[in-house]
Amino acid sequence: MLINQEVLKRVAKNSRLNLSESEIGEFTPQLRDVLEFFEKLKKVPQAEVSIHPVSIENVYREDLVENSLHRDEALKNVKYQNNGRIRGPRTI
Amino acid sequence: MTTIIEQVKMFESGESCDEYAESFIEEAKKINKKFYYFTEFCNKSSKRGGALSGIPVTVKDCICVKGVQSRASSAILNTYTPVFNASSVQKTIDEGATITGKTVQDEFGFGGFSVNVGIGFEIPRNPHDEDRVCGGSSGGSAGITAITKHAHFSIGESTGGSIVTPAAFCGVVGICPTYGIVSRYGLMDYANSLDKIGPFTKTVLEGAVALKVLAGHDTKDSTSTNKKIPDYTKITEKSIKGWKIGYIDPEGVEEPIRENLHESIQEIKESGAKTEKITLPISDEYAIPAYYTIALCEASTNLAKYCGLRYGAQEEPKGFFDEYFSNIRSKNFGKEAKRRILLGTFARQAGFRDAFYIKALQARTHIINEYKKIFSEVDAIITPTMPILPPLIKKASELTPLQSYLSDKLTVGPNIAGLPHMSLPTGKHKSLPIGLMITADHYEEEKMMTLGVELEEKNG
Repeated sequence: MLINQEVLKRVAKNSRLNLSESEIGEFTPQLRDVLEFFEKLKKVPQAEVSIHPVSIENVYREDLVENSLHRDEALKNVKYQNNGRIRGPRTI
Repeated sequence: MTTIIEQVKMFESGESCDEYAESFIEEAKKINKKFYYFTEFCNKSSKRGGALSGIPVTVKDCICVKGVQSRASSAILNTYTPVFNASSVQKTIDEGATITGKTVQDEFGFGGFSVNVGIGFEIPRNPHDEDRVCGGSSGGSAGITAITKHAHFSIGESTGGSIVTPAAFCGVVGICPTYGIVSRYGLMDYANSLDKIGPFTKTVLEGAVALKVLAGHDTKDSTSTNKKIPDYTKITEKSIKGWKIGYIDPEGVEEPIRENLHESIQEIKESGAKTEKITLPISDEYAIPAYYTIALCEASTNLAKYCGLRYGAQEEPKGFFDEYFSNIRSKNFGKEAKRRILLGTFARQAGFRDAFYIKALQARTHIINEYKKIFSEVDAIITPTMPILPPLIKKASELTPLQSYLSDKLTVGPNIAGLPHMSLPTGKHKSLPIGLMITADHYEEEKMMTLGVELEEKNG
């Protein structure tokens, strides 16, 4: 079995999602069905991987100095600020 | 019905662009009360003149419009107002268009029916039957394109079928170009290696006009192609005489849709092209699991940036960062967004990455090679866009996630392979439209649309 309630809780923690008990009950069999279906991929013969569907070449631009987004604009959507900086929760 | 091309000429003869835009917005607001196609209305233009001068344009909610709330129909982006235009939007404005509104979608593109809109958003209604779905994820874009009486086009986006599916269910033309033809700068990513921007229009030629504006290299998107973009509007001067068209006659397709496919095959023969039944066994077997694995792995990393600090839903930043991020994400992502984040995170974790993600990328190689082999023998492929007519909203809402994913079986192949594909209306069953999907080789949009024009003429 690929996924059960305990595994789902661990994946949710890694995903920064708090799942309610009802969500855990609802999602576990749904995700199990999907992952079991994905297991078909085991039979895929070895091949090169295609990260993109078409060939992507590096496209370089001139190394020019340009103005970046002005601080006022960068902070325009930030609700909680302090002296022109984003105010966030504790990290340590 | 006036086309974009005709309306631009009328503006050149003196009709007021501003009054036309106002008239469209007034009509759209009335339509919205019943069909719920819009998340925001606006009236943004700069200069007039150009291929789209004066034309009202609507934009899928996941594509940034400067100064207009843009949320990918997700509560996690409530209040987010971009300070820049997506390149596709800017190009449209530069050609004289008026940006008039943002259209509703499945949250971040997570769905094929537009029933997975985010918390606080309304499900858009099918323009031909209000109890049925528009298709998704670009449901609002397809719906307004079908119903408006104005010359208009909508900028949509597809990851696994989000342009052609709603185009088929709403009875309009939806064009999804080759990956990289249209810049993704300013698009809120669902899955970077799969996302494509393309237009919804009433006719194929209008789609060609719109795509010509949207397409082209953009230094702001490193995956944008620097290939020369042909003049797509010349498609009406071309013919399919002597071409060979492959058709797929899939199992599990509703009978009126199968009959319609065979009518289209007959019409192609009458136009002087050969037809040949083809199959894509590798794509049939692996396209859905490979597509969803790649898409959800990419989506789960893309959605990691939504943490309630820099934009969108925010709260007083109290407590430890993990608790804060988890709390705001849990409150504001809808159920399908949560499921897709969980699936993607699971498939990327140590011990499973090789079994799922790497295998999916290998499957993509096989699928591309299979299409390339077919395109060495045929000029284009036709197939029904969807195996079913637009279902009732209630029925679509009751599907399990796996049942919902399996309904994309005809559209994920071209998407995972990055191939240009389009849906055009080729008939009706009772009042419900039927869409035919045309797929062509990479960068062969002209061929795809030439066949589209031919079939459109046959269908009046």
